[in-house]
Amino acid sequence: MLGTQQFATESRAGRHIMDINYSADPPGIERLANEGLYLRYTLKDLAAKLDPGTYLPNLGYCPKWTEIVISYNPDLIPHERARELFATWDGLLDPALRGRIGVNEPAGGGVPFATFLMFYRTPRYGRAFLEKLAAQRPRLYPGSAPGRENLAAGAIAAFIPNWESIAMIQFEKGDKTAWTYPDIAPAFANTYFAISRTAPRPAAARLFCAWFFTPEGARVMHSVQARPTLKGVPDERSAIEPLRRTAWWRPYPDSIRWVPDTEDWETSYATLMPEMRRILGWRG
Amino acid sequence: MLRGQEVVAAGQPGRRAAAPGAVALLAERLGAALWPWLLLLGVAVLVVWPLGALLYGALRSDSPGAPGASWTLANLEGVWVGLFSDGWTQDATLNSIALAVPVTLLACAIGIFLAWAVTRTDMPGKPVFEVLFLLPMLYSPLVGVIGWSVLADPVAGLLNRGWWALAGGSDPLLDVYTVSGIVWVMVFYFVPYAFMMNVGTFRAMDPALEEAAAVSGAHLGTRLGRITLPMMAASTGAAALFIFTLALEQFAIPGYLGSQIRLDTLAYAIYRRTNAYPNDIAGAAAAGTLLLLLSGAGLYLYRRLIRRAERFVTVTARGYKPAVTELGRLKPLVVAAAVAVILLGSLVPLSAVLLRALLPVRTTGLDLGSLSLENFARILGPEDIRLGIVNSLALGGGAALLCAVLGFAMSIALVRRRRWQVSLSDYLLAMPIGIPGTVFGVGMLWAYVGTPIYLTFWILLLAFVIRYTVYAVRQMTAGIMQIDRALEEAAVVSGASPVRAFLFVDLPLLRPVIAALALMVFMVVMRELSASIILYGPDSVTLPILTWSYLNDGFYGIASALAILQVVLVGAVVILFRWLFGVDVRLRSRE
Repeated sequence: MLGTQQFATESRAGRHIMDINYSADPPGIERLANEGLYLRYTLKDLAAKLDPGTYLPNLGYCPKWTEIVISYNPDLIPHERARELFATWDGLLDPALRGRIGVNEPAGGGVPFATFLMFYRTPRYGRAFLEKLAAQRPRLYPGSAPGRENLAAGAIAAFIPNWESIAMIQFEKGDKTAWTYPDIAPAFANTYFAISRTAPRPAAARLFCAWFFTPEGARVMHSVQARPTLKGVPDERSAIEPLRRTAWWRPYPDSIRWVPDTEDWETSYATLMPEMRRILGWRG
Repeated sequence: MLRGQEVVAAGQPGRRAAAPGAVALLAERLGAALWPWLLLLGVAVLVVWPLGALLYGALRSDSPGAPGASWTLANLEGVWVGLFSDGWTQDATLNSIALAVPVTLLACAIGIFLAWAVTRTDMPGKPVFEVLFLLPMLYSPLVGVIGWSVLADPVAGLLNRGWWALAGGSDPLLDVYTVSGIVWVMVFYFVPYAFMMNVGTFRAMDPALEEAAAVSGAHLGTRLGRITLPMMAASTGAAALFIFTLALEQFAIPGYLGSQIRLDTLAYAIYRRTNAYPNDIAGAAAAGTLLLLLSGAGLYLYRRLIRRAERFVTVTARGYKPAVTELGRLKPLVVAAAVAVILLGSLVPLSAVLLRALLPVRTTGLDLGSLSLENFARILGPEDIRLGIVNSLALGGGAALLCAVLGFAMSIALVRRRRWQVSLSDYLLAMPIGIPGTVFGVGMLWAYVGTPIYLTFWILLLAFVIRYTVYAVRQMTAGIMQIDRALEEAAVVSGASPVRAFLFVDLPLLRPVIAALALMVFMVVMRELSASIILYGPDSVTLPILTWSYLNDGFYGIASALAILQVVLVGAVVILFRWLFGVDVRLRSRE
């Protein structure tokens, strides 16, 4: 986040250092582009090759999906039970899980906010779901990393929201935690390549971005276990094969995707964030 | 200065022939009139520029330079009015104070006790204890967070599991996710500050009054309470002020541990505002003014405490031999307390971090069979880690040197040449430490983005010097106040020039204080993260930044291994310092 702020400060001061800003703030990209700080560029024929919702037309392109999952510790919730329990988010409201859930707090980044926004915008869940979740007295974490660590240690039985690529990285490292997919979950383009309008190396910047949306570039995303947004690329993520050999894993079901509206995100943030935190137990 | 020269002239009439002429005298008087202004100007440029940028940002509707941004009081209103009307700062501020007060009191009590024990008692193993007490200063606060989370999680903590295995039941013996748990971790983090800021004073203190009291039959408690501690008021006040200020702006410990129990602190709330999207840097900058006021209040109280410097003269012209209090039957108790502080404050959490560094991944049960050096192997190769080590050591060393020099000059001016410009400079220098590092970093970013030092090693060095010179000033001021001017004047009367008197009288007496403050600045810089995370560039990465990055990415094992590496590196420097500067202190004690 501060990277975008830093880019804006540098550009306004006439210091043109960054060629590309890999920004997780799509509304901010749009705003700074209107100010003339970002280059409006098009990568030839790219729009047709990308999944919809993963690029800001002529401005920012996201190379990977962030796909939200529910993580659990199989020592505390057996795989079968977890799949059954977390077929929907309501599984988190199981009385047996009171005090045993970990939640990345809403202000902990884009991933948690997107997830809580989804609850608000999905009639099946709504604001009431967050209130019920709060009644479960979950442990709240300032970021996802301590939540995952506590999950692995058995301090909590389930952790939300986690995302599949990081869960796969943990899995490859030998982490015993597992994950499953509820009926609906945020899947979104979290970070976008945006080129500075005054990039010191504009041609190299374009080339770099364009390369990321080739099969070779997609492999870089595979190397961090992320699904590329480039369509038609065979899944070469190294975690997939060992995961297939497990009894519990199944491929991400595309039917569950919920893609947040970035405009809604920007306009709702200031009012929803304090409300979400209050519901979860904070006063301020 | 003029007075000193008159004394020299009276002592050595022959020198009068070399007295300055009218022009030289005029120049000298002009210099004497100008230097306070130059000092004020220098400090103002260093401090007011970034803080002014912050204040400017707090008064704008958008970041500085953004088109369409206008002047507004909304950010400050949100912070200040919100403080009294259930705004976002209300609970956070109350919680911050509620944590900082007990942390300050407990850390000072423990630190002063330890400083007294190693300097004024016959406790065995003092040199070893003195080094071990500093252990928590070798690592970042994240070590305490990781270590105590591993040990004292109410469900998965190893100490709790061990307790259940021994005693049965399932109620946690220790729970780090409570207010008292957070205070516990913070106290041990800050004890070394109180220890370091008082140990030099104890060591340099003339024991005449204590001896007189002992001869008069006052027992140990009375001597401590009525003589020793009141004489230590300046350094104790300095330690309390810093610990209170740093506890207020401490983000990592209450942020990580407090969020699990919905305990918001101001520093964490500010961090959230800088780290969310859309972010609220202007709101964070406005909240910085609140912390500034709180720390400013602390500084005001401290300055009132030391208004009459003469009350704190503890190194007098009379020759003395520092006294040693015989502990007698209390000796095992004092040693046990010291060992407990070392164990609970550093060795136990550090062992937990070492254990985590040796574990490839965390598991529900502790799998000792999986222990390996894999995480350590992974930190030995990468170029960025080598760069981080070099940068951290260079920044720590450079900042220690510059802060010591600047702190010394400022302290001399404060104690010996009192002018309002100097007092104002002192207040200004204390301001950067009163706001969270992240907010200060944003101010530095806004202030220096157009300069060649931006994103280089040099902006980090400058930031550290601006932020930490106040440490040196406080500690050096306490040290100088304890030296009776009669010593310097005696040298001058004996024919020494003021410079010579300073070099051969004041400086040797201040050497332990200078060494202690340089060491402290070094250690603080070695673990600084909050401002450097905003200001670093690709070539100026530091060890704490790398540790934070690995931790944030979920690589707890590698982050833990880096934390251990940092302990080893900083520990080596501490030992080197003791070797270089500590020997003389002990020799003097034996004379």
